[in-house]
Amino acid sequence: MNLKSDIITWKLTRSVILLAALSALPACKRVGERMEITESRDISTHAAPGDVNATSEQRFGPALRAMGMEKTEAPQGQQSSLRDLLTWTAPSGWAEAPAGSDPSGMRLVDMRFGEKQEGECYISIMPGPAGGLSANLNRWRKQMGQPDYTEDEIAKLPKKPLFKREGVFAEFDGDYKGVGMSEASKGYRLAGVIHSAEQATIFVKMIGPKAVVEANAVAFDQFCQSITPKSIE
Amino acid sequence: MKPDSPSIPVLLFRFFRSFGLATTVLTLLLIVTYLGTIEQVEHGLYESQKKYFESYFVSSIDVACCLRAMHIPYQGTFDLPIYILPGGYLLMLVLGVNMLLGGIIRLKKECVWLAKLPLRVVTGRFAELSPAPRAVGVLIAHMSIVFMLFAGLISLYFKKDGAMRLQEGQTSDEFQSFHNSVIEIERLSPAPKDGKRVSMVIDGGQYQDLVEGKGRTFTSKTLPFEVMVMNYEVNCVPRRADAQETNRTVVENFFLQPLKEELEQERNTDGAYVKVKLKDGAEKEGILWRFAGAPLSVQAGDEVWGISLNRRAWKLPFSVRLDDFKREVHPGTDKARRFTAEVTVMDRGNDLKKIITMNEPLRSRGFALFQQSFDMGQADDGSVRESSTIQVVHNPSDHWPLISCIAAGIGLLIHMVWQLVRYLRRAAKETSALKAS
Repeated sequence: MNLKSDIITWKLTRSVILLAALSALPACKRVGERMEITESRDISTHAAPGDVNATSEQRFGPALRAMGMEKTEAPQGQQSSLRDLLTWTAPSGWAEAPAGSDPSGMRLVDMRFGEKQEGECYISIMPGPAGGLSANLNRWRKQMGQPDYTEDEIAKLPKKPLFKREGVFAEFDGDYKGVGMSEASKGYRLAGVIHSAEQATIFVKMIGPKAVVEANAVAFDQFCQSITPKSIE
Repeated sequence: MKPDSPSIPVLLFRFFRSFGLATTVLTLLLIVTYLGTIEQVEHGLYESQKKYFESYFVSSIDVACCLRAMHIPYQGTFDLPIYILPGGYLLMLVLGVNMLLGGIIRLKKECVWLAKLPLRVVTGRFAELSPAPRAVGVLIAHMSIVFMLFAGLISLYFKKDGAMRLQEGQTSDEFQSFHNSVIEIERLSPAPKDGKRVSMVIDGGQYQDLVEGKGRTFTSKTLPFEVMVMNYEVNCVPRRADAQETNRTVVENFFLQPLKEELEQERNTDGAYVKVKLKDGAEKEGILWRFAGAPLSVQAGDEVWGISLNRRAWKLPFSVRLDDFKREVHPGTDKARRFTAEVTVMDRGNDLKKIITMNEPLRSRGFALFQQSFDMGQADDGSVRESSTIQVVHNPSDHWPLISCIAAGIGLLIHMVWQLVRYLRRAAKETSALKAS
């Protein structure tokens, strides 16, 4: 009796497995090396015909400029004139961000890095002490959802060379919510150097997913050291 | 010999109609819905929908993301590979079968009564309606649920959802999908003599797995070459090789730079590399990108063919011309009050003036056209030219969920009234019996 019941249970289980496998069958797709094109469609008579023999420049250039992915001309105004006073060297694998990427309009130099360009590093300069070192560091802390640094903690922060001078270096993890972001990006790391002087304050801030920022730590130091005012050279 | 146990078909029938199965499926649906909802915070609506609701089995659960969505501060990554949790698609199929066997076929008397109801009402034989079987309301509610599941299935396979972007004065009779990517190959030169342009279409499902060095060759008897598609990127942008160091393949000074995937899948701009092999053995490499201004041209003898990567286009049974676009704002602000697209619908020789505005779509021949967004650009003569993006939806089961909800409500109401009447009758009987004693 027990044996018979076991056999029935096995048969039932086998049937259910078979049914589940059969129902999953349409989801499997054969990944072959060659495939015949079987589908076609009538193109609308209103659709513009494609340009014949267009070069890559003609195919991509206008769209990249229209989308703000490429600069059409040098940016105007104060930021561009400040930018003209700086020189820097982009580390290997880093590239300038497309125009229109800066949500605050405060970035003089805006770089991107990482496999999918998810890391950001930018230079900005503010006149005077710009609220002071403590206020600026804690502004960054707030952006990462972290509590403010105490004065003691700030005093213990390491220094790094920047702009031929010394800047205060801070690095911490958190959920990043920058200017114009509706939701925080999780698992981020911020690394930044601030050099504060009476005439101006210079910021170099690197932000991105923790692993990406970690992998670019050396590149960040190289980038900071390469930033110099043109007149010094 | 007397059979002492039911046969396998009977066991299967009992299993699929069982109340236990319904409870299990509904519990699993609750879990899947919960996980899918919280995972969309980091993975986006489209990806979560595909993974949890349009699948037979859930491939993995991003536990780290779920924890963060529940405000548990966990910064690491923890992807739990799991193939034992059924996906929404399989669960709803099983639920449909369960409802059909357990909630409809089981109620034979009610089914017969309900089937004869229209004829009896039409012929005025109301007396034959009584006595009505007691679970008619339950039957109606179960049928409504099956109908709702069926509506979901129809919507999944037949719903078309996309957008049509029109500049003022421009006419179109097709709209492009928000999500489905295709590669199209068209002969550009010489143009067809009858003016009927046709393109060959490779569906996204046939090349979207070709990431990180994978490639597949596509052929056709009517093509003078074969195309190998490789290194597909979900979100990318062409970059100039002379402006940025790269180890990626460079074609005519451009390479495809992968970008982080957007949470809103429709914002991704996909791209791929192709290698074209002509019949004489000559080869040509090229880059396809969704926002490319022109197709990749391939010279094959006297003919020029174009290869492009687009969103899937669907035809409308009528043409739409954008006559004027109006943007009204609240006085003294930039806040939108009303966007209005004045259009002409050209259908079977008739030109009809119509208005599409916020919350007031244009409905025609099973298609609904909604005002979605607008854009302002500069025309060649320097004047400002407005354009409107109109969302187009075609869903054969558009109103079925509403009908199903109403029917389920009616069914449950009938059942509740039935139960109330029974209770009141029984209470009255008990009271009179008490009085008599």
